[in-house]
Amino acid sequence: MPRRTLLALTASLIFLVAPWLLPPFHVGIFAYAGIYALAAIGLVLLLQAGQISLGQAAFMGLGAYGSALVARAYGIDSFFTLIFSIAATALVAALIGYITLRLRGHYLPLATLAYGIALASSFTAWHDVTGGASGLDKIPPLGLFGYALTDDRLYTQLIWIVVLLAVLGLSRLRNSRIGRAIATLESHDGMARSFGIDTTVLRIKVFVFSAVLAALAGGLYVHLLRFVSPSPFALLTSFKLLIMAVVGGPSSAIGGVVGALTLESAQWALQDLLARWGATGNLEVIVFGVILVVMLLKWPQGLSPALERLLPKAKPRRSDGTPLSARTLPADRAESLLELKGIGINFGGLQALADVNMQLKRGEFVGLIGPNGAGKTTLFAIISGLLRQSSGTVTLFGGKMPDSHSIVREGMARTFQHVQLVPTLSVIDNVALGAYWRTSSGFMRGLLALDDAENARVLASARAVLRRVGLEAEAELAAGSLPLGKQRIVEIARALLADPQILLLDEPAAGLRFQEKLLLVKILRQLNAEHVTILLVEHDMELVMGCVERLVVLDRGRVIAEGAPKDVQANPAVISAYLGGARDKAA
Amino acid sequence: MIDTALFLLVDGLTNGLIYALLALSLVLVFTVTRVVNIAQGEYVMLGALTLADLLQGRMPGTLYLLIGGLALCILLDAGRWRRDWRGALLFATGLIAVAIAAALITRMALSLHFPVIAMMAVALLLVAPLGVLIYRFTVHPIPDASTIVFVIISVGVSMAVQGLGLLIWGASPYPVEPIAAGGLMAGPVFIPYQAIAIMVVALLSMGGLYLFSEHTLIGKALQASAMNRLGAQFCGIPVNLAGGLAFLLAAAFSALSGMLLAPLITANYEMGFMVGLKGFVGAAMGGLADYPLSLAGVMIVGGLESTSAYLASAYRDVLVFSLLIPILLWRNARQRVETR
Repeated sequence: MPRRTLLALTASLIFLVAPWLLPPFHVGIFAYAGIYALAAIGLVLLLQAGQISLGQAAFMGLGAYGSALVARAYGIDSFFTLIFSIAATALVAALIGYITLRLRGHYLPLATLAYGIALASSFTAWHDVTGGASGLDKIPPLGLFGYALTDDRLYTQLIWIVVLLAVLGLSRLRNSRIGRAIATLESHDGMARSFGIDTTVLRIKVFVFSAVLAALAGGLYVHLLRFVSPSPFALLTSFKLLIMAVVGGPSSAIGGVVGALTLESAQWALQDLLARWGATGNLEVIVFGVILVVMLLKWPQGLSPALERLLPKAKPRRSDGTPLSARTLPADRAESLLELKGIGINFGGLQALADVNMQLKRGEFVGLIGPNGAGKTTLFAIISGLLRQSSGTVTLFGGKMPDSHSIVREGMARTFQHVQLVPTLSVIDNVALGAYWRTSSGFMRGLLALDDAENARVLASARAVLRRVGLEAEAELAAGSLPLGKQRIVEIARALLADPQILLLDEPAAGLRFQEKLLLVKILRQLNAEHVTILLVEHDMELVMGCVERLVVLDRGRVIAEGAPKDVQANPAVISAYLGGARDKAA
Repeated sequence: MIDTALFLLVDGLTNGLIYALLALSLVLVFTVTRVVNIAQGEYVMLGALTLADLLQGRMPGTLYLLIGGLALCILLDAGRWRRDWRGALLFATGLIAVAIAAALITRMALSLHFPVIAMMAVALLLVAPLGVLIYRFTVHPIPDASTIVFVIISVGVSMAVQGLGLLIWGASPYPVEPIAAGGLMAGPVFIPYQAIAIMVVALLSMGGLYLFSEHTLIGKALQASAMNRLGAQFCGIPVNLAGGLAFLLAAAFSALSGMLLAPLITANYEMGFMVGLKGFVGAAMGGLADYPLSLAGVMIVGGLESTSAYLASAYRDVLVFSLLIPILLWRNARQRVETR
């Protein structure tokens, strides 16, 4: 058995027997640490998706009140009321997520703060049902079919079983298809959509799942304490959970556990120590605050990455599957794949594109050139559905433009002028994003590790593509650590893994060395020979002239010339656009 | 009915302007250093309690905080003695001189029984440098950390400072004298002089900040660091000094708002957090980057607050914070249109 697995099993075993070894007072602390860890793990997932939430405690409160009130009022087994309250919280979270997740920048954390306070205040304000600020007692213990779980040690063990399962599930998820997609949510929305990820829906799913973990934590809390009041679910707890997630390190689910254990034990140890030294009650807050600051100055990434370095390395993932089946492209060169008619777009007063007409036929290799600011990248954004044109129509594969996240399914993939890789993910995981639409394992399959076979096939295909572009040796490095030229090649590899009929390349050769350029040209020619249609934007004229069969020249938002490279090179309008002069005098 | 509305208007305006000073501090700190400073409200508390001490003839505890902080600063500089003992000596002497000067000024103010306005200036001298010290301790060591790390660090600072406040001043509230007692009748409404003082001071400080950042070289350097840290560095602007300056100014504005607010509500050790939160809500409505919009934001918060306090019901906070979400959605949509 690999050492890492052995270590994980031993650690889990220690957690599970700990309630039987600790003195009763510490069992309680351990139980609450587990509950906070569960809610903090939810926040870790949110942070991985680039969302900061100050409302997590409110969802804990919904889970707690939902289960406590129903179990208390109707005498239903609290196991069922817990499930009910988790489902109800998930519904509320889906609604809140649907409304607020379209917010960007600082508006989103602010919105979480707002509903966090609003929900927590309503626990106090709805006095008739919730018992107001003084709370309600006589909450039934956790029970199923008449059997009640009243033993604190057993209960604590149950809590930690749930926590360990959550950690296991989320660690699996991180390496799955959905995990890779979640990593794009923080700052690569456009890229994610062009590779088939419906980011809006995925954001809501992540948010709901995180709320479900919080609700579960809240339910476990209230049936352990058997008393419910609003104060544990107020803003302060949300802050506490966020501190746990950040101190523990949001890069992995273990961070939630490490953070919760560190903070809870630090708090209790401080109280104990300072009381023993006869210090007054408020000194612990000061010391706690100072420790918090010092820890983050020392480990800004959180404790878990520092811990991770001490552990034996994880065994390499399976990448031995049969590669995904690719489509075979017809050789018929008459079919029109992409047609632009009268495309125009304005940004405020600036007419970025005006009346652009263009056609791509199957198997063509077309270059799109023009001076800086001619509108090439804008045109790309329209073709790939990330921008909507103000006038004109785009026809893709004979139909009208689908949503931006469905375009890749139709068979069009692209690269970006400003490299859009997730810097913390490995190269092979970045490439594997290209196969997102070709695979189907969802959230649950990722959590339960039912996607193993499919994932192995994806990784095998990704490895094959990396071999083709000469980057197999770098497969396991973090993408952000590669030089820019290699990052561009990773972009191309990712687009290739999307198995495109049309490939859009936005300045793929910028920053490449001579040898890399030669390889790029070779790959492009090969692809074209396999009937892949290519549209290339590039400033390296030698490269463009050497491989394309047709050129379209854009200047100031208009097509000024079109035709074979030789003819375009001789076109006076093109020469003046690049060198200035004639036209400016005429105007 | 109209009387009530006018009263609420004056009340909302006064509250709003106090939060405005805080929102200003938050925006200033965020634009220059990318720190969302949850601890900004603690300077409000320090300002108010320092003023309370000075007015009642006690040596303010803030002085000890300042001296302790300066000492820690010298300690953190210990590594420099080997490489550059002259520089280190100069630095240490300078800090000790600052500490002695602060102590002397405070003694003088106490023995000469300065008037309220002068006492406010002394309190400002004691509190504002704490901002620079906190910048030195918590932001300067890790300038490139992510937003969320700074948020949590500032939570730690907030806890520590609030704990120190409790240690120094205890839990009991302190009354603070207003700049001028009484007020005047403007038609049917009574306007306290303190409200007028708040408006004048708030508007003067905002105007001052505007003139400073638009018409002085240092102000322009601050703006440059706010727009593009790296670019500013290439132009020879010491961005670390810019960060320290932003923290200094922000601490001063927040302390000022605490001193103006204290006579209305009495000062205590935990007053800072709630005021800070409301300032943050206002500032965040402007995306933490836009001064005029932040102003509008805090005015909305102040107005909502005084109206809902008047209509006092159990659902006050629920309503105020739920109403915030549609405003945010609207702002978000507007901003997207503007950037396009």
